[in-house]
Amino acid sequence: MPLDSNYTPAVEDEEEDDILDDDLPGPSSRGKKGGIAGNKANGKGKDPGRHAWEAEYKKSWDIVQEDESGSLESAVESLLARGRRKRALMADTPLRRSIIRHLFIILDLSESMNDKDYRPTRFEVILGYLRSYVVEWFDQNPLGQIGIIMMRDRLSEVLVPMGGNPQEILSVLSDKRKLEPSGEPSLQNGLVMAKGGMSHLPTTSSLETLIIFSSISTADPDGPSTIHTVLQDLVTNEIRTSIIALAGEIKICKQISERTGGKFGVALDQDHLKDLMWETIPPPATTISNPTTIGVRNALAAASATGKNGVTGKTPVGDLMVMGFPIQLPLGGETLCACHGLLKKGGYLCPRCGSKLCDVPTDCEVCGLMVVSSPHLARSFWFLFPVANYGVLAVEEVMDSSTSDTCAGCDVEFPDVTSIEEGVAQVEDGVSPTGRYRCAKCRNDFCADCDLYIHDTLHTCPGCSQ
Amino acid sequence: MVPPPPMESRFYPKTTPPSVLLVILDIHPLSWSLLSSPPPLPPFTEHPGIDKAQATPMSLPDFVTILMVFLNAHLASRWGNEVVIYGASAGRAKLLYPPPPNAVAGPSKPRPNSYHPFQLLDSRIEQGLKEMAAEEQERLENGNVKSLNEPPSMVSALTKALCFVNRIQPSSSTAAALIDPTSQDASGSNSNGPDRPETRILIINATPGSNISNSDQSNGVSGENGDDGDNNSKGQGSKGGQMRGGYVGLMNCVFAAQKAKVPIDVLSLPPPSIDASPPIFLQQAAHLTEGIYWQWNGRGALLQYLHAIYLPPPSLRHHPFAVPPQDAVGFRAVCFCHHKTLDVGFVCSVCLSIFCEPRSVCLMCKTRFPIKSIPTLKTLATYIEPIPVPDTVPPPVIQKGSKMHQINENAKKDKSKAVNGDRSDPIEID
Repeated sequence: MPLDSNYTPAVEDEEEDDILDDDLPGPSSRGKKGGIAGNKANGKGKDPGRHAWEAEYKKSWDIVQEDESGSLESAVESLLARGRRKRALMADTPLRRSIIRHLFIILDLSESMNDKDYRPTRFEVILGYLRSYVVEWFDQNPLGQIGIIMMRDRLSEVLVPMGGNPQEILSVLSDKRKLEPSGEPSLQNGLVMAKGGMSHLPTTSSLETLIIFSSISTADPDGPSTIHTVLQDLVTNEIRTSIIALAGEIKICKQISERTGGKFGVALDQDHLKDLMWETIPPPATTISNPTTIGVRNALAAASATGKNGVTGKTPVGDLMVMGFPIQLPLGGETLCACHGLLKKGGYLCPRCGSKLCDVPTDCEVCGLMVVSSPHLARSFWFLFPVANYGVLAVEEVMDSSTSDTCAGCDVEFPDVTSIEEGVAQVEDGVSPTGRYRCAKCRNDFCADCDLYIHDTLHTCPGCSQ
Repeated sequence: MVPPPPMESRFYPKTTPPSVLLVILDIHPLSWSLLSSPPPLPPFTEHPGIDKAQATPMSLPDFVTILMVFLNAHLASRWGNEVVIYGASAGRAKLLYPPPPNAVAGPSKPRPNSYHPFQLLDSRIEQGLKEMAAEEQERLENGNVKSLNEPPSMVSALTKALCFVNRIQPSSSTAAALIDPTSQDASGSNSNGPDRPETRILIINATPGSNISNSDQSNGVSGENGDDGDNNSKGQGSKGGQMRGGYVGLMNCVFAAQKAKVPIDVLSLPPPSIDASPPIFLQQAAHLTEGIYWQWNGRGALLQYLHAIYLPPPSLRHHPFAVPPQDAVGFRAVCFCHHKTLDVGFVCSVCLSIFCEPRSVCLMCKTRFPIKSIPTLKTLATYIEPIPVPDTVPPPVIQKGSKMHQINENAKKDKSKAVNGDRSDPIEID
């Protein structure tokens, strides 16, 4: 730790020098990206002695190759193949995930957000991405909550308090005038505020922050506490901190995310930025050393008893929660609700005591039952029952086995097997030469569109389901 | 979740986009045999006019005739409207219309006195239904009698329908985003072009009880549940075992439909005299996708109901037309261990799987729970008594002053109904 505190200023100097030298991170990042694309295509193209920014400029459109007939079909197919590969990785991830998540997005709104290396500006790009990020996040984490903190003028400010309503966040994010970037960011202030905002939350839920850091320095307040003590606090409170830097790698950022178990990434370009952000959407796998679950947020009527027992025994990783599934009332007449004592239309009936609640998920005011709408839970079921990846069918297999002529999903006709020429049908990994993908369980064939749709969105195999 | 009132315009839209109607027709033979000989209806005292209408037996041929008229009306109401029909029978689903491309196209020659698309549609539906019935017959003759006990494969039909929707209007989130990741997809996906067809799914359910799994009769006797559990596990074995395919699959479909902004309308045919408990999961599906759920009262006039409720496309539903008042929705869930429908369940904090009884290890993610808390949880579970869904749709005639009284009465009635419903036997033949 002392070593680090000595080291930090040096890092910042260095980084600033770098920036002064080549003054825009844009070109260098493009170079890096080209390098990566090259690696993917065919081995390593650059000698280890050269830095990324010294490499030759690679045009991103060079990797798209036309085939003999001059169409881009094969290029599109390879893109599809890339998607399939990604998914294969997804399917192997562990089953145990923390599904109740609380996330603070700490947004750097310093002057550096006005940089134009992303078009039109970093600010616009980030806001655009954040909007779709929030929607997607709530789609995959229906029981989660998001708050937004912004850092500018060396201060941090809670833009949106922790909440589970994406509409509220979106409406704030669409108001650009309130978000005008200015001054310098203070990472320490931002983190302290996020930590304070999550201090009341139970340790069973996954506490996370996502920092989008655009500048290359942090202006922290003088005083007894430094960013290192804050980091220590984050570690003890198990707040997983992921940082996405737009400008460059900063030692303290990397250190924070590494020690808190988050991810650190430097965005190379817009695509990469999106990839980095989207990587944080699926619920993180919980580690075995997850904290014990005492006094969980479930307002178990016998919470105290459970808690006491929980401490003494071998620390259990999970907990069984009693949840009630309510009845939603239509927007008929107004009735008094149990939570506010106000006359309101609609609402939910607690299944145990029958009192009316305004909104779910919540704890029933009367009997303390945790009332959750079952679709909320059901959103996470596809993690539990994933659809196995479909196998690729070669031409011979289709010839051999008598298969149906139409896709089992959308009933579109498959291309005629006999017309597929052996030479043209390139067997790139993941892409079926016959355009057919077969489910191993129900032995039905699907087209590429349905395959993607079933695995990305539907999460249910039409053949296997009743 | 309640559809927001159309704020943007108080004017009628000049034109609406063409709409594609995907119909999922439940043709489970056992359900239709029940429908064709309905028990007499209980007297409907609130409204003497309704009370005069007798219970109408509804056989599948009768209903298909009605459905064809409805579908023809849909085709006729706007140029460019399309119809897709799936049949869902015991454990299987099949596309009935449009015909597969290699099939013989339509009737031999067009009749001069009928609109050709009508003729094509009608003859093809008839043909498709006959084919499917023949297949069922074959299955039975092959000694596969047990298969008839399977519930109609609504989920399979739904997934097929959603795949079809995805093909005619690919969602920007999957394919387009893959090809062009920089596009600001969130804003783009919402904008419906003027010519983009509206799609909607209409599920016509004929099976009493919620057809998601055999054992959906809530809080049934334990022996009965045990039997059902066995049946289900057998079914899974033959299916290659996607556990709880019914409930989880239906929910997945609902979320996919939500994403694609496709409303799922549900018409439930079994009248209250056959089926006291509504198919709550289909009701949930309709509610979550902002579709219309409606249960037939068993007193005829189906064609009129179909036209009045389900004919307007989604963009015209709330304005200038109106949707029938939607009843209270029970957000119950199915447990993973015994497939019971639950009001209160035990949920693993790690993977959120639902169980109907406290256990020491999560079945899904193998998480160990604190053993000592199980007794307290067990005592908690015994306190739970199901609260009946209140009957909240206002009766046709309401005298001022007696409103509250009537609602109370309805609630009581519903309670007794629910009790009866619990005892109703699942369809079973041996």
